[in-house]
Amino acid sequence: MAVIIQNLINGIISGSYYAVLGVGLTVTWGVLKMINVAHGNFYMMGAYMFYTFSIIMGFPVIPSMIAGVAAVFVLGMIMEKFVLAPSLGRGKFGDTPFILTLAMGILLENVAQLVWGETNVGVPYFNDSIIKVMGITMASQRLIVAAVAMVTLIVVLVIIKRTKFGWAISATAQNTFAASLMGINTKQIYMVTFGIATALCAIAGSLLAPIYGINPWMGESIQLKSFVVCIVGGLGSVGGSIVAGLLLGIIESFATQFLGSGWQNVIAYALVIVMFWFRPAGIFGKME
Amino acid sequence: MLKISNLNAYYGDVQVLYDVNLEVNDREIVTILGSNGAGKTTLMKTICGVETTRSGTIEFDGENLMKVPAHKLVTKGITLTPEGRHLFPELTVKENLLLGAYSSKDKKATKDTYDWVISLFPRLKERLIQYAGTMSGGEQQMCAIGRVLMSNPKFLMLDEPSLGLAPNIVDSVFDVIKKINEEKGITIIVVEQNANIALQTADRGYVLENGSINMSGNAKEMLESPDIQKLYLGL
Repeated sequence: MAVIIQNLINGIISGSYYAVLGVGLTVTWGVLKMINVAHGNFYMMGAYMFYTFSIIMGFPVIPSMIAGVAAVFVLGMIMEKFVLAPSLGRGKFGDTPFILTLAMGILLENVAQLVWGETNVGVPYFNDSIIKVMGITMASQRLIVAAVAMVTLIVVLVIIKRTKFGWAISATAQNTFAASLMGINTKQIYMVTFGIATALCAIAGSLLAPIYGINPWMGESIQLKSFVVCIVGGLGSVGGSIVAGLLLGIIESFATQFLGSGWQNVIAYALVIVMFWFRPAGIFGKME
Repeated sequence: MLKISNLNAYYGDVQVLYDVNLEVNDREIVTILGSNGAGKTTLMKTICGVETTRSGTIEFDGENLMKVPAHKLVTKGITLTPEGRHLFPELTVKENLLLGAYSSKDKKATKDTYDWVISLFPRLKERLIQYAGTMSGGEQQMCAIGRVLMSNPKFLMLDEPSLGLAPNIVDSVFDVIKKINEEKGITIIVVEQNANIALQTADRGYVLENGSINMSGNAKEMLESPDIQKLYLGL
């Protein structure tokens, strides 16, 4: 019994940051109507920014995290404004934005290699105590990850569902033409949305840096996981990504326990294939 | 209020509007008639800056609009209800309405306008928390008109408000158009295929054919004109 609960909790913890990453990617898709293949690289940038502020510059954990996330938020907006915006929303450019994000990802990865070197670096746990309750063992760091991720998701949901700015994002996603008629500066919404998506990556990146270490290639596996979450949840659906993120985390956790860790990714992609068979639009996606 | 001179507009390399001259006076209702593909919708989109491949001048209260981006027009009091309504289908009716006042900073005024819009369309009151995409065509048209009214416009363009609506709903939509013109003094352009009801409601009319204006005049006189009767009224 304890094993099942332990796995469930482990699953929810990794699921919570899968959800954060998936929400970022799905919002980008919903609003900008493009796939961002540099998503994982912004996660990597978030980890390095956190490393820079906390280890190199010596700030405490919380200010380092805030500064790192803010830096990536600004970086994301700059990237959108100068790299993506010129080609977005122009029919004849077709898949150009997609290719541009590919270039953006390669650029970020190489910049990271030049600036921080081609080796692993690490940051210490925020809190290295271990909690033991009724036979369940949990590192505090992982609980912090889950708590911050959950708070982040709630904040994102509240912004999207309850604020005028959030409605403007939804309006732009649903009908860009009508949104501009309402006086919404849709180009600005594109930019800020992309910034928010990259900031979500940075939150996940700095939370996980102590656990997984930091290197310039750490974004690649995260990119694929984010895709899985997005597709299973339904592209463009924030609620879907949250559910799918948690689901993926829990399934992976049990797969690792009962089949061995080598099966973790196999199970994740099997989930996508099964989804394509039975519900290609995703859990919350609309069938067309 | 609105003065358009020698307006040309293009879709890519194809010219759609040719030297359009058009004038709308304060508090007037003007209708633009024309068959499918005459360029009516392009004219609306060009005026509000959504189609930007254009030349000529568009003046609003003496100010040149040619360089003003689409999303800034709302704050100048210019709004468009596009053909096909273009509601935000997965937002609620209330959220759609409130987005109409997106650019307004005055919360009190927004509240007053909201109450007025709801009183204009009592039907919407029952639908406030429903997704806009799930309503009937008539209700969606009311929501679309309510949404633009939320910005407290001085000048309102309606593109095919009767499209796809049952005849009795069309009548009530035009009653509302008349009412907002009289009650709030909002100047209105109505683009319509239903020439009969449009000319009965409007003060003046223009006929757009193949991208240029080829007739204009007093709406009552146009209703009597043999050409109009033959071409647009099916008499």
